[in-house]
Amino acid sequence: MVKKILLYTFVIWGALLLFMPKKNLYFKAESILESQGVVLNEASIEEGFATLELRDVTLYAKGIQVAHADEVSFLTLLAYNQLKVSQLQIDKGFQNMFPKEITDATVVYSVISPLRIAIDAVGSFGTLKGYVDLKERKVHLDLLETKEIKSIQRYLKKGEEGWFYETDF
Amino acid sequence: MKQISKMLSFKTVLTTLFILVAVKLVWSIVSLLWLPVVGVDHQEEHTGKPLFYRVKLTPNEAPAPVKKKTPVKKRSSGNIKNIKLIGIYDSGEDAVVVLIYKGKTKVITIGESVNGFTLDHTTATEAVFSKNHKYYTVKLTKNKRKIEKMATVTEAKDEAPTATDTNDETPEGNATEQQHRVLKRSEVDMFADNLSEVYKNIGIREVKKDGKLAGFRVTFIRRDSAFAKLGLRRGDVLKSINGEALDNYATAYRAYQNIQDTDMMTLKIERGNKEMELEYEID
Repeated sequence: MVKKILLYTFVIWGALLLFMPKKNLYFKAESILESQGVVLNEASIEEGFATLELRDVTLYAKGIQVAHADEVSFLTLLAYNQLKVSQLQIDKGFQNMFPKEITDATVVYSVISPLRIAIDAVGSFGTLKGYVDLKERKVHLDLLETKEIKSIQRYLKKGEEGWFYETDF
Repeated sequence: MKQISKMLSFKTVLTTLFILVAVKLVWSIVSLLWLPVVGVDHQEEHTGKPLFYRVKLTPNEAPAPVKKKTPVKKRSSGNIKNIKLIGIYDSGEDAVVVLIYKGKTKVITIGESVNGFTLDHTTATEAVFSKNHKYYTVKLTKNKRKIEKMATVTEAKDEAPTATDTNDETPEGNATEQQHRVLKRSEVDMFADNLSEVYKNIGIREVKKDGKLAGFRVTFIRRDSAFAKLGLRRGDVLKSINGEALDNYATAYRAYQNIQDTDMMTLKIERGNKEMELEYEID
């Protein structure tokens, strides 16, 4: 009986992932972002069993090109979700306000800690690790190694363990 | 026993298939009801920058020439107090006047009529209309404020209109007081290279009309900053730059990006209920 329950659970999980309309869900996310003035243009969208990969993604905010990423990929296993961004280049006009480049950024949300989203990133600023606390509505990012932080230093605070960024939303 | 086992496995396969079909059906319904089938794409504007010419009918250096017309016998007659003269553009050969009639702004040239009054000729400060062989002079309304010194300003005047007989001609003021504001190239380049410096010195907020962007309102200007010298004030609404309407962020950003390649800039603003043009030369 237990075996059967496990089997059917596995089948349901697999079927949910397999038949999930990932492209359409992404389009829905795009339309929600559009209402906030954010538009993503992508050269191609590839759907996998549990993944969705976007290539040559250009980010526009209020009609202005803000950044370009070589690759953006989503992975969902329902209980574990991951967003990966590779080679994100900030537009020249905004390089005095944001880091010039983010080589790799990973955002993870899992049911193990449902009120927390983990963030890891490596870029021109160095390396950072942090989280988004959904309960306290707070973003906290610790810069573990710092490189070029002059452009973003005004947003950062200096703590005992180094520079960090913190904001509420 | 074997038959029971076969029945069970057959049942399992059937159940599995049922689950697969059910899940597929659920996702299909979700897609059909709530999910879009196409994505959102940003469309680049390919309309091209509109050609922008600034035509000056009078040179900036000198006041508008006063036309010496053959004196006409003028008699006092009628009342054209509803016509408020707010601007005169005189090229020497032709003249255009800007006036407010029944709350609406009208632009007419010599020979054209408003409320039966035909524009006959202009001087530096007056427009002379004719009706039924009688002549009426409308003086340019006087500005209560000093026109901005920082920029070339063409603006409406505040004072109530006066309609008088031409016999009482007393020239008052100019329709446009034009002054060049020269901006330093080094300062412009510094702001062009550093967007964050712009936000430190001037604050702008979008202005919407009927749900559409209609310009940007100046929310603050830092004293002693380069922006304070532009002739802008808090509350001004930026309407267009070099003829391009600021009805989206991309236009504003494009103008900001191209400012290093620009020698002249004309900014159309709305101050109160009046529209003004500020003209800059970047040297």
